[in-house]
Amino acid sequence: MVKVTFKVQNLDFWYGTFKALENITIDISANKVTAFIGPSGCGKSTFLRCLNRMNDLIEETRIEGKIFLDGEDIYSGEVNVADLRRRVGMIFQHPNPFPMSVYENVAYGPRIHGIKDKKRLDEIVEKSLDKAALWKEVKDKLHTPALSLSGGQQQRLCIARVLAVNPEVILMDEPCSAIDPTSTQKIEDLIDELKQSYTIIIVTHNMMQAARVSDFTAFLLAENTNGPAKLIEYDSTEVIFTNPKDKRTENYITGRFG
Amino acid sequence: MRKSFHEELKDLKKEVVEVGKQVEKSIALALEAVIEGNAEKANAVFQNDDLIDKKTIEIEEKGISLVATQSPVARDLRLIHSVLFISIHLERMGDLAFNMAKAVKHLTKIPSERENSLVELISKMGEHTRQVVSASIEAFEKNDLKLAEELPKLDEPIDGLFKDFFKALARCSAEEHSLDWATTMVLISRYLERIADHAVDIGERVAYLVTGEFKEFD
Repeated sequence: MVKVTFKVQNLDFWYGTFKALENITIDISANKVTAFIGPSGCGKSTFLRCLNRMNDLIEETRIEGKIFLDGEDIYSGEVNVADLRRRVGMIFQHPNPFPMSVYENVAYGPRIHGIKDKKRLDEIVEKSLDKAALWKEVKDKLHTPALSLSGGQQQRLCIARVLAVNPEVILMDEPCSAIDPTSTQKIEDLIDELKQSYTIIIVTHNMMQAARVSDFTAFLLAENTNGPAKLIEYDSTEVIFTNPKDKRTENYITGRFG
Repeated sequence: MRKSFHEELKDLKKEVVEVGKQVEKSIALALEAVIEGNAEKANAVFQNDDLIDKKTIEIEEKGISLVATQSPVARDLRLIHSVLFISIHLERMGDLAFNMAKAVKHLTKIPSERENSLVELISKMGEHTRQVVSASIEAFEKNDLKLAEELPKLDEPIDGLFKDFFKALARCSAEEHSLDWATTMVLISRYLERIADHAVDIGERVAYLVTGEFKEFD
């Protein structure tokens, strides 16, 4: 039986009085790649941010419903939010390395989680960069500024930075939209590698990327302007892209919307 | 951009239906050539086959180009997939009509009496074959699942007539020219039977196009 990492039940989400998500219920499988697709502004990123409570940082937001990570309610008072965000790492649209060296970027997380031993940190940095398919390219320039790397390398560095704190889940919000096709391919290959060890949830506007990298695809849509987004269809990626069951999904992925 | 892609898809479908009509024309001409022993009509089949071959290659190239440039998914992908298969079936049906026409050329050279019972059987088979072919193209044109699923039933009498053909053959004269004439007619009946089988296969592709599920017809 497939292990469920995230169990989302009847999730509603508000920005102030605006309801952005309505009644989202979905099980996200462990060690699989799940892609969220949908038109701009339909709440995909909002949903992603609910999964590691990044929305808590935005004022006047609230949720109803439940989100369980490995059976634990992540919105219960007992959850340590910093630890939650370690377990559920996030990669953003634009690579955002810290303005420090390659090494320090990766060592930063383990350090604030209490690892001070230099040898141990060296190991973590090498292992994380290696898992992010970047070690060979940067092993001789670990102490150069991270911002001197190419955009694609910076994005893989951000992945290494997430891996360094030993997460269970990696959230990716349009991770390839700001990088070139060759780097995109490297990230996509990496996603395929990483799912052996991590659960990956990706938001993408690139339909073909969703088709290429994901095992499951979820389609979110807000049918009325200023109305909330709902989960329209969720199935294996193969079904969504060859024979979707809902007409709205079909119209969206074939470009017949609006 | 996308709008023009969907326009191109519509055009591609129209082109397949157009080739389908040409194949129907070839089959009709080939049948008339057999029934009338008319070599002129056989020549017209040869000419029409060149057109069918050219058109099916164009369809294939357009289909591949759309896959490469537009990354089609869902029903668009299924349409292109079906178009590529259906055009192959149509091309082969055209080839079988071509073979019938070639057989007519041979028949007209045999100094033998025509065996009317065999001509009649070919005529009947031909009528049913034209029906099933026409229905297969209509099912594709209109995305008509119900009609596609009726194709095996329309094909049944053809298989029955094909068997009757062998019984009639046994009653034919064993004289050398008569035998040559009759066995050529058997070949023609086989071509008709194969044409109808291709039409049923087109129906299977239509069913996939509409439902997204592969199902072999009985």
